[in-house]
Amino acid sequence: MQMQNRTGKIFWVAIAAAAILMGGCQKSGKRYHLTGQVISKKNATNEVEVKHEAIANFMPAMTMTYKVPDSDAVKGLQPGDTIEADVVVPTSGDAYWLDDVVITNGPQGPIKAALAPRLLMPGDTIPDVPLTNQDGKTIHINQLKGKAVLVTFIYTRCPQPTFCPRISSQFAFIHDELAKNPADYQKTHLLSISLDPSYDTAPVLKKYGLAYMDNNPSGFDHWEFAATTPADLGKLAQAFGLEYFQQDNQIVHTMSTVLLGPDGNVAKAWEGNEWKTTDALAALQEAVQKNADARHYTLKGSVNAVDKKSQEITVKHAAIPGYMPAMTMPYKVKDTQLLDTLAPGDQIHAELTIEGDNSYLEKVVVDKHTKGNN
Amino acid sequence: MMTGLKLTLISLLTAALLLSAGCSQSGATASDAGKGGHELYQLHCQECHEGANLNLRKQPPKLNGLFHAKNLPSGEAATDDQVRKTIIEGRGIMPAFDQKLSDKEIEDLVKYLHTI
Repeated sequence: MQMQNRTGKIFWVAIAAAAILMGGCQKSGKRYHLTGQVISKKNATNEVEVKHEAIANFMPAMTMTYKVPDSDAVKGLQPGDTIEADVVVPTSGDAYWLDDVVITNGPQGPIKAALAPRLLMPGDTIPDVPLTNQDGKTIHINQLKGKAVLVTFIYTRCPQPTFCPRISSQFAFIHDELAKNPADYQKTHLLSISLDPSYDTAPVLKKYGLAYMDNNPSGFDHWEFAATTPADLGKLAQAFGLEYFQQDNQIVHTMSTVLLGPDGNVAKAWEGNEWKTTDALAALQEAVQKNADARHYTLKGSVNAVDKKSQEITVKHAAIPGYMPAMTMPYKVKDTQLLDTLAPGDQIHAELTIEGDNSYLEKVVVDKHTKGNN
Repeated sequence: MMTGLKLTLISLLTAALLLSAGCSQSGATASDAGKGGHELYQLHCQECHEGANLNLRKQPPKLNGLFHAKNLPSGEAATDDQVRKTIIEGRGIMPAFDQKLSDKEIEDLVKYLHTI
């Protein structure tokens, strides 16, 4: 797992650099033959995590995530598939990618059997399902973009002191610590989502939450307790790498606590209950600081494509002085509702925000609609 | 379909119950019927109310002598009704045992709490 995390980080840095420098992958580069097994994949971003054998004269056996530009090839892959492919190492020094991916003998073997929901990786997106908070108000995690948000899962009748009561106690500590610094408090948010939506109604969640914030209801402005439908909870659980099921009168569950950065994407994730409140607190503060250090550029161009799934728009844009030349590339958008109104051909200008390894468009203004609405 | 993780979780929870006779409610089933108040206490209450270093927001109070005082740790009157209410509805960070213990089990627990 440690190797996965480390290689994952290296990968993300490399991908960020590659994304900035090129719109798509180049065909040229040195090729190495890879044999391995698919651990996971993301259709939205054309990425495949592969546990592969040693690659002669190139790299030892390891688990690593690769971009696969052929989106049809990604869609055809399933976790557990044994594959052969070419690792392409661009001469430009950009990130490695996979080409000519071939499934050799289908889903089978020990990796498939050992598959379990995996821990989220930085940059992962999560579904924006509607939640009902302790006041009965409908909320969306996406509404919290701009803040660093710590999300976890609990249920109010959980009796195991090392499970939900401990996680909620840790959140209470973090909530209190953040309250000591008004700047941090305003730029952060905590969210506890119930695993027992049929029992954990708004009043039940409110009572539970108050117990952890010294009966001070103003704390709900910063720490919300929410539930959703069983179906949407299932979607969230899948995205958060969480497993839960009902057994007798108990909900048996794993634990997943995730920090979403101000861009709404995963910044850090912890599983289990052994994470330290000081680590989570430091990660929250770092995310806030990174946001404060963000750079902003003006982007002007035309929309080439809108991808609701990956929450990205591809923009053919003019040069951005001091940052990058004119090019066509996909960008995340902060306000995902825009994905419903933007269309290919629209002329836009927007603010491009660069936060550490992440970038996204905000303050998008449509200068000219393709369909002549404006 | 039972994944390896689920099996591991169930095994861990079962082991925890056997070893700690703790506060898990997984035993709060029909199999509890007939268990004495002492066993119910060990199964559902002891881990929190006698635990140390739980790292919880508030340390749950000891329940020894609960009915010997005029008031419960919450300040409410130390009556059977009040203790029954606390078990069912929970209090503070104590979870509700609503729909998890039968009326008979709650009566057995309350009776046992009179003896410690």
